[in-house]
Amino acid sequence: MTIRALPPAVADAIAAGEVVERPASVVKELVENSLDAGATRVGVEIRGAGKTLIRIVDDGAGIPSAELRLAFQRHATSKLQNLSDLEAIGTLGFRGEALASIAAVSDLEATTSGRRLHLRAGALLEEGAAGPAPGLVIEVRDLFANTPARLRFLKSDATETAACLAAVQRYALLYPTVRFRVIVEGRTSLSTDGHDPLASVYGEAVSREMLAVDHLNVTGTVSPPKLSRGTRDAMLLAVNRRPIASRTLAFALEECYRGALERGRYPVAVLNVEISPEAVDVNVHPTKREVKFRDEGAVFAALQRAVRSAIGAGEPARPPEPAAPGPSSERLLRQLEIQEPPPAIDPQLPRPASAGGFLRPVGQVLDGYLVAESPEGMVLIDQHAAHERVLFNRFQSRLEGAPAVSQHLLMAMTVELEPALAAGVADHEAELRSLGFEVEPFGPRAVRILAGPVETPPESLEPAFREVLAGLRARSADDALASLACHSAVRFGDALDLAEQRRLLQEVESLSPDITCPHGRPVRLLLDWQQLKRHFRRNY
Amino acid sequence: MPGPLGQALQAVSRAISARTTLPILNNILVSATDQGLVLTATNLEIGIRKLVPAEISEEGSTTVPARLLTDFVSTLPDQELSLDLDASTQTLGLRCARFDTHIKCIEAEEFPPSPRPDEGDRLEVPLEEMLRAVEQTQMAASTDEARPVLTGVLFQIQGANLTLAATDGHRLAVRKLTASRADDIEASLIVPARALGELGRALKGEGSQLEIIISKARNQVFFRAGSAEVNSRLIDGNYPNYSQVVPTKSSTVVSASTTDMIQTVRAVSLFAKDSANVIRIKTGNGGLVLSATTNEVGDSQAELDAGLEGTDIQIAFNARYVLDALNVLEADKVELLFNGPLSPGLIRPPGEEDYVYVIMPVRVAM
Repeated sequence: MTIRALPPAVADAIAAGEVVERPASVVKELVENSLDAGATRVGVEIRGAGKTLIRIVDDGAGIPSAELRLAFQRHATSKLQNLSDLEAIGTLGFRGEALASIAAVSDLEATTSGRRLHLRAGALLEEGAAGPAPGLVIEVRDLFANTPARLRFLKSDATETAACLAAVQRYALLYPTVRFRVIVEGRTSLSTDGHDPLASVYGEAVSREMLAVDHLNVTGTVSPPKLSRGTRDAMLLAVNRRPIASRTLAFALEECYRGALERGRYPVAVLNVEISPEAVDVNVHPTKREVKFRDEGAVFAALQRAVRSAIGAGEPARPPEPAAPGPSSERLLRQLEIQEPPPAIDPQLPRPASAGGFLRPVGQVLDGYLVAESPEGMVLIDQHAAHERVLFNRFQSRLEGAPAVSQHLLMAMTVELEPALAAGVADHEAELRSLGFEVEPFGPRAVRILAGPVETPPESLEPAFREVLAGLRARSADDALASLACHSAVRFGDALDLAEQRRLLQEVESLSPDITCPHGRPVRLLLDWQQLKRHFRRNY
Repeated sequence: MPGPLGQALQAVSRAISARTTLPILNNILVSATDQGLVLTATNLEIGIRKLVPAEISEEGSTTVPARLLTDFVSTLPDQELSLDLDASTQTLGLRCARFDTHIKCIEAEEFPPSPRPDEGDRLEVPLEEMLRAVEQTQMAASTDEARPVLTGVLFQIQGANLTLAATDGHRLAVRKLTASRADDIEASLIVPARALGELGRALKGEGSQLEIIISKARNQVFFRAGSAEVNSRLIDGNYPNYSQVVPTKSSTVVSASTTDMIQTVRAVSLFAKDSANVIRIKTGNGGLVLSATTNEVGDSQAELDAGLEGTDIQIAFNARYVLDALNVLEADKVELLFNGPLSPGLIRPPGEEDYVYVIMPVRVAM
């Protein structure tokens, strides 16, 4: 077998694969081009899941007729002139690959500045004059017709269509003043009006609830905790209005909702980080979805601060305690090997006297749920989850300096520990003490518990102590607090008398209605009066 | 007639648990015997039996839904009631005054057989004293099933000496009494506190003596007074050696009026909600100062006249533990003995040795 240089058409098709892997990539590249050209209106038409036709029409600067042919050569771009420009990329596109790559795998026709160019599989078919329309029109037909392998790897038409739409949605959300219109198989699927893309993408109801984020260089909008999604799909993160995929920043965002959202629920967010182009490298991957920050820790912290101040300031009252950012984000930063102090906790907002409204005890069902009446309707409360949250907050405040209250034991309790854990007792004595534990060493692999938190029943003291210690050793104060709260809370199945119910409800009143237990499970369920009326058809 | 029958039905119904998976346990076994009408209910852990005097024309038994029978009988006028069972249909006919009623029953054979004491060890104690001793200890037992032995009250029997002790790990109650008659036995039993809680209702007014019978296998205990009986299974396990935690010396002795102290602790503890019910007790100015604070609620402080001996002290307790003791003290005055802010406190009727209640203090960091 002899080695030969690939014919240009083959080489182009291979290179194109990196940029153009599916119809949605074509849409993304072309929309980016339009935005870079300063378009205020971008129309996208998709037929046959983008395999039949992708048509982009914009009112941007277009391509000067003399340069039209050059634009379709690989590494031809107007956006970059020398290597130093690469250090500070201010446009979405810059590699000069997009148009050439798309042209290599399709039948492409471009019309701009009175000229028309028609290429097939990268080869020029015809070039000629056209009507003097503003902007640029690009029609991509028969995508991947010459690369059947790629075609076979595409997912179902519905999936590919959805991906195309999602690609446009991302830019629509990030460029609110640009009017986007997407037509799929002849029907309008998205139409933004130039000021509220959220309403067009997620609907009026969502748009109304969203909270504005504007804090230093982080802008956008995030959902209040009560609005959440089952996937991360609605979490849009961008750097300099370029959508990015960053697990770190996604984590930073999710952390802000920790304790307010159930596990597996994610916020809706559109967040853009404005950052000096030198501080970020977008040239990591051909599709530019991944970026590298010079100082990821700082971006992480800025994003968290911005989101926290937005959800903290939201109406109605947001969870009174910021969802403990300290230890876990600290852990993450350490993984990233960034020598940055953990993001500071925003000053605690004053706790509203009765964030969730007055709760009148009605009774208990299944020895597990409290039934109460609130001004909004009937409320069911998971007694264990609610008590866990109340105690978690209380223990947290003790860890942060509120006076410790420890109940001494009649008989000290000897607890055998693995040597590693036993060694941790001395390291964490201060924290253990502030939570109410008083322990003394008892040989190399045991300790004696002399006192425990007042709230923890003596029978639960030993398991609680073990888990708190394990949590502290793993540098997760949240885990430690959650374990302690769990062992100290009333259990599902405990019959509570009216006085106990009233007492627990009073404590729940001061919590935000959206609050979850420390493990993320919901605390309350509201059946509002309207719902009840509707159900019982009391329509008067 | 319905008067005594109604009361007996209510007493035995206490053994029926609200949620049982065995439907027959929702019924009361009603037996017509040569002694009278015997009512029995059980949840397999606790059984309660009462005898109601009745004129029996034919012996027989069946099981009747407890709730329905109890509710119905309680509405009947105080007139003669006659019961007759149609054994073939298991239908119990009740006739009283204007009422003619039939209740569907389940065969007596389905009812779990009650344990019998047969030849167990016995001792006899004055009933009222025993009921008081139970009241004074039972509340200190744990309600958490995680350590079953602590959900019971320890009965230590040494000849005629009977000691009841209960603890949940934070407080301890110990009561001594003397048997009026006893076999020469030594035994340690752990009786479920819940079973003891039923003694008062089931046995009150049934004569003056209580007979305690321990089954030969030492797994059941029977409390008998007059014609009533409460039986319970015993909790298996070793009770912790509590005697070492009863303080033997004190540096501060306080004596106060029991009712004043109850009232003061109750009032002040309303302000101890957030800090898990912690009240502070301070000596000084010829009395006690009780106080509690909750950040979001407010604070309260009250003075209480008291006799003081020894050094001044400031100590904190869970208010509920203090109240539990004061409520069962049955003495006008209460004596509190302390030996420093982190050592156990002792509550007892002044000068008495038969009852002690020990509470561990709470340390409140300032």
